[in-house]
Amino acid sequence: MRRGLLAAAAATALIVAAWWWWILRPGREAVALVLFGREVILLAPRRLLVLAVLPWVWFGRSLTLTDLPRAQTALSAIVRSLLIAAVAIALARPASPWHSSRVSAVFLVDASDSVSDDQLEASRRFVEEARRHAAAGEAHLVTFARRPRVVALGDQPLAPIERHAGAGDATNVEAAMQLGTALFAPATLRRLVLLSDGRETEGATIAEAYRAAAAGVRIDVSPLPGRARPEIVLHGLSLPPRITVGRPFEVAADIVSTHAGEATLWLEQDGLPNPLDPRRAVALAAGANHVRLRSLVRHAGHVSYRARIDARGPDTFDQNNHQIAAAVVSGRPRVLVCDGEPERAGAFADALRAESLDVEVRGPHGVPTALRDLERWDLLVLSDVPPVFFGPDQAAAVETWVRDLGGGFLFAAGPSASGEGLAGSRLERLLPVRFGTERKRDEPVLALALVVDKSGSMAGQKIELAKEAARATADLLAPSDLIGVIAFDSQPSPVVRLQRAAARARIAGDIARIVASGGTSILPALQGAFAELQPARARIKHVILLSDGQSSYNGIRELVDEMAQSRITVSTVGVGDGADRTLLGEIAEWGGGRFYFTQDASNVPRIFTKETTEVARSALVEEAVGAVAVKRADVIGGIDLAAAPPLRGYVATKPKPLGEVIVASQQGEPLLARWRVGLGKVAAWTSDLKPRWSAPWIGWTGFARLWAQVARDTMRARASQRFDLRAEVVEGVARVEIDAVDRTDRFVDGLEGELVAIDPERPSERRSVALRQIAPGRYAAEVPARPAGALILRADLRRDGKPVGEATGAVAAGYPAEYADLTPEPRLGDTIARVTGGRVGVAPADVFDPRGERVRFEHDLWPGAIGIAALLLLLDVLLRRVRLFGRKAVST
Amino acid sequence: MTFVGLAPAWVAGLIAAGCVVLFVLYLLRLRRRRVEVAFAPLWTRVLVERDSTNLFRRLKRWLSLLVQVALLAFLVLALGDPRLGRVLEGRDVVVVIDASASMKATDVAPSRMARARAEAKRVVRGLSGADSVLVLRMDATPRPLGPWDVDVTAAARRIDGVMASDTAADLSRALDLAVDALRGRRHPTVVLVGDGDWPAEPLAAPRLAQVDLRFVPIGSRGDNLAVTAFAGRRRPADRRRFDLFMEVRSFRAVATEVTVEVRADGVLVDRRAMTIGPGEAVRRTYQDFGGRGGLFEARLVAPPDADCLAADDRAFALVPERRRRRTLLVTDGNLFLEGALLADPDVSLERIPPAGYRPREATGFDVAIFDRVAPEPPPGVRGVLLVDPQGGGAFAVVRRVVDPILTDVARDHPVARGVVLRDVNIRDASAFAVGPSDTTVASSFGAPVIVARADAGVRTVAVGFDVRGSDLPLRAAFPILLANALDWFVDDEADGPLLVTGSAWRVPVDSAGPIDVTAPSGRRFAAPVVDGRAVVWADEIGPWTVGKLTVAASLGAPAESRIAPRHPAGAGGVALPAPELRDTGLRRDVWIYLAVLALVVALVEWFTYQRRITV
Repeated sequence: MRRGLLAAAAATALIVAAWWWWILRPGREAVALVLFGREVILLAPRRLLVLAVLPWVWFGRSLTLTDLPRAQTALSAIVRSLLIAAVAIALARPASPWHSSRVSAVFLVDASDSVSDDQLEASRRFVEEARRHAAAGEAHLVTFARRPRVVALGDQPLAPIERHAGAGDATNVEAAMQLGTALFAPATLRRLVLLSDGRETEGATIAEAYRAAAAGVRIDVSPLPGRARPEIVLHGLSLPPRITVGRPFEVAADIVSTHAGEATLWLEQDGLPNPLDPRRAVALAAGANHVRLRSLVRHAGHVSYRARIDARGPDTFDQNNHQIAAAVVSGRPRVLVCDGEPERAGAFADALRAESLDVEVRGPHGVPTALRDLERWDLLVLSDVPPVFFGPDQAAAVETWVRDLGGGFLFAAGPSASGEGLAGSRLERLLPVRFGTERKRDEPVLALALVVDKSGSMAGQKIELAKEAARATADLLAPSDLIGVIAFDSQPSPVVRLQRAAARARIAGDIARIVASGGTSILPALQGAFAELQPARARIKHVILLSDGQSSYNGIRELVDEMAQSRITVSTVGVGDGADRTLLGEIAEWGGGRFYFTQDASNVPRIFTKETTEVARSALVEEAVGAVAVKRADVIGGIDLAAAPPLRGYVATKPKPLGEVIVASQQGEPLLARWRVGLGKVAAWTSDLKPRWSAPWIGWTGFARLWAQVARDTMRARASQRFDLRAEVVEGVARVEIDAVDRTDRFVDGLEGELVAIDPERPSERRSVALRQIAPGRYAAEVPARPAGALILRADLRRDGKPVGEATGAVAAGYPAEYADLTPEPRLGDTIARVTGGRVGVAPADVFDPRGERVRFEHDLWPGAIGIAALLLLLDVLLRRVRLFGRKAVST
Repeated sequence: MTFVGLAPAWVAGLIAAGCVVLFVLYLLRLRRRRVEVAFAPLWTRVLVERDSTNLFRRLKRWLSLLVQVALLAFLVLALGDPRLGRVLEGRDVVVVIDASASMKATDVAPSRMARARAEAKRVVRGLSGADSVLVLRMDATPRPLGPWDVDVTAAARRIDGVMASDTAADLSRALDLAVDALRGRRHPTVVLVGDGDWPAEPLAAPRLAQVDLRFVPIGSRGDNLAVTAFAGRRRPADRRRFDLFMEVRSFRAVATEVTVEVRADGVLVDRRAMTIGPGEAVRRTYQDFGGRGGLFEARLVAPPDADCLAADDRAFALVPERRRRRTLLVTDGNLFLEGALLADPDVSLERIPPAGYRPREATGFDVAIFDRVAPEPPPGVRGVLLVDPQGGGAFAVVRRVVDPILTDVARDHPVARGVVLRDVNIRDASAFAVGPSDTTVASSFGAPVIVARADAGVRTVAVGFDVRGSDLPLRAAFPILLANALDWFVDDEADGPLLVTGSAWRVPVDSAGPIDVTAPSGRRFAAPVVDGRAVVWADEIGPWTVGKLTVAASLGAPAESRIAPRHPAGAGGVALPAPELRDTGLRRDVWIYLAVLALVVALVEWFTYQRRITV
């Protein structure tokens, strides 16, 4: 027994080793053998390991207690071994190559919009007739338009083929072929039968045909019967390659009609009727018709056209009655000036016009609200526009325009655009200077003297309201500001000495002590105020005088003039009919302030509040300011700023860390600063551009030159060279190529650049992609494009950040290509039939004709092995139940 | 349960018949051997004991019969190839295997493609018996490798056949195809097997909202160096000279020393070592090549561990050779025309006066140029240039324009490429009527003055003015315009075509019938010719032979050279999960389990029989 055990183990090891050596080690997934001259493939050869149990059959036999002679037990062991071997071989999945001439066909039926109902019905009849020759499971149907769809073929006659609702505007034969490939029955000759008008709009059918040919698929083609439907197609809308502002040109419309008839051609420019030729009655001839309409563009930038033809006769599709075109319009640099007081912006605009810039002046409501409005401009100037007119959306549009499209932005502050409302705003983030934080800690900006009439006539509600107004004024001021209160009758009495407004409680207490009594004498009171304010250190010194009575004029004019020379301004408030409106008005005029009058004393607090707010606009510096060049820069090259007269004011700001201050005030605060934002530049001028603060400058000889230089420096950079741009839309992608060849006929290499694509109808969906050099002087990029729509393309090419050249162009398609041509196109079918060895014009009865071909497939042999095992089982039992040897007597 | 093999009746019949045979065999009593013994009483006692266990023996016999019947039933049932019904809720799974060029990377042994096949098979084998699977190969043209399979072995065999191509992956198309195939099916699932460096948009497409997207990552690192651009172009004004542009890019995180070789028709013309920084692209222009052109190859040599993908280490640039054009000039004398044509080394010029021109006798010319006449062109010419035809020939003149200014030039037309016609002074010119197959190359305020026509077989350019009555011959634009026109006539392209794999080429050939094509691998096939161009689908990098022409394809897809594996995200930016492999263990091919059961029973029964436990 021990020997038997060892022998079985050794034999098992031998079989396992052979299995490892032959199958496992080489990593064989399948093993091909030739048995009796026939090729047999084992598809799961690793399962042959089961054969390792065979030695144990023989070991079992060595343990036998049966009453059978050795020969019969040996025979039985052989049969049992064969049985086990047969099962093991079956498990190894033997297969043998066979051949079949059965045909499996998938009908690919074009159900796109370019296929007529008659053609679709013809396809249905074709499929119905052809499938009569097919066995079960050998015919399948795929209908397709933009995408393919499997249609179950039952036993019933084929119902009318359904169109692909909402997806019939494209034809993708490739996708249908690919889906059809997944439907073939196994072990059959594979045929695709294409029933299409051949107008492919998506996909790469030729490539798929090659793949199909490599996979042994033949494509038969049955061209659809073509019968022309009445159709008018606005085939093309073309613009001249170069459009110049103000020069008329022709827009050419190509119309293809299947029949003669009458129609009207409409043309829109940027959504509005075409300026010169908005509509034209057209007598169409059968075939191609060319219609030209005159047009004119008034703005540089880009322009888009949409044409529509209304036919008075039959026309199958409406989709192809539209067409669009777009182009880039060249012109002089365009500047948009938005000013809070447009009537006063003339000097600045004229200065730019004199330097060959196209300027348009708008009021504060004309600030562009969308990117599309900004696109046509090279420079946007916001001048003295109150922040209320410049919302977050506008700021976002300007930011995108500057950052991504290289637009130029000049911000001129002016009195309306002081720090209030700007500090921390999106607009301020765009600027190279910061508002609202310019005040130095503890430095008083405003020194305010309230000179309040406390004569007897003020008694009662008036004096109380005046006191309340004085307290409210103190509350309004910044803690570091100075306030003084002088109550007067015939003599002034300082109620609150000039002091910081921080001590509000004490100031309020002092004001509360004012009691009305006595006459009215303004001069001594003003003298007292002058005496308080003159030595004070504050940028703004102001007096508010309140009175309800009459006073002597003597000496007041002289005093107020003297105060004005000391940069102390005076505003006056008259209360009630008793007030000397003439005197108070004159004092305000002499003092450079404002005069208020009210019958109702209850208005006094409000007037004080308004006046204080007006004066306390602390960022404004309304004084003579000399401009000093603090940095040498081309933008002020050739301009002698030292010879420039002083400005009358500016808004105090602080430069941002990356901001570049070019011109500053004598106090060192920025007047002109600039920086780069993305592709564009932003400049900030903290004074104004009109005859308020810049009045002395307007007459200065350097005014026009300075602003022309600033405008040119800030505006969208214009490259020195224009390169050719070509673009085509293929399957939803605009492929753009730019040829950079310089004037000496050399390729311009090594540039960086980016392509910006703008959809005129969806300007917010603009895309920006990097250009990549692909050949000498050739740069390329791809951007997504709608199947029906236009794209304005603009490329800027730079070397080391400096503009080298630009290229512009446009691609447009008014409708999906599905509707461009409705006549059958036989070449596609011919080509793919030739590539795959299929037939053109196959008859329904011939679809399932194998044409003498056979397909090789692998026929499973494992059932045979299992059957043999079953027979061997019976034989084995027979060997146990019938004694074949040893019938004669045995002697012991 | 259904039977795919033997019909159920046959199965039942065979089992019944087998049972009868076994029963009959078990009725047989094995004839005992006659053994002569020396002393019989001893054996008589043994026989008495045996009679007492008769009942047990009968039971053992029936048990043995039952085992044999079971064994037979297992085998016959296996012959029926029974399939389980869909008791489990199955899935329909599309396994998309990335077979693009990047899958040839060897950062994982033996290659990403081999690993992807193994992973895909693991996915397929992990599917339950109720699942069905469609294997889809993804490269530039994704396609299914067969029908829906329920047979795991068949699906695995299809996966074994997936080989990486030299083209870029088109995930969008692959997913579209998967969604089409899954329309209306149960629990649609897509398993993507690949390196994952795919664009994000297709994975977030709304069409995939109802699809369970899974991902199996392949690849370990992204070390690669590639020739990402290589192309040649002839100079617009001097077509005898050309430039080559090459871009070599590193996709590594460290600097690498490489050597770049440039070969012209197989001959080494440049070899230089360079160091490329991390992620750097080195661009080099080889300027001012002279000569006939040819096929150029750029080859990058880098340390093997630094460059895991070899497919993008070669790129090809074709600068088409200039063909000599036999040109007939019919003129009474035009020094400007003659001078410009004689200066072109690619022009073989013959001049005859109009009076001596006989169309039938003028054979063998590629191009005919008629100066101020417009007779019938000679047979066989490929292009005709009409200079101031004055209403003769095929171009009708609408009117005569005095002192025209060329306002519009179709710069994208091959004849006008690189031609600057601004401010050209012209005495007067004909304005042509433009037909459907005509293209206005240059016009004066909408009046077509230079028109090109592409009719079947012959291309024509008509110039509406006498060049001697203009200053055009004094400008650089004149020879360029002539060279462009001649190139267009004979289909010579100034620019070398940028041929990349994964695209259909349309190669101009002389033949109208199918043309023999030999791929870089030696594969040969016949390509159809459509409109004078052989249509070839290129899926291999290297030189191709199309008829007598040699062209070459490069990978030309920098995204494919970026081989760093990445885990893609689906809708909402959520990383795609791994596939859930069910462990049901029970597959639909039940016969295997029956066969294994029969095997085990046969073996056990053999031992029990030998030891007389069964009989």
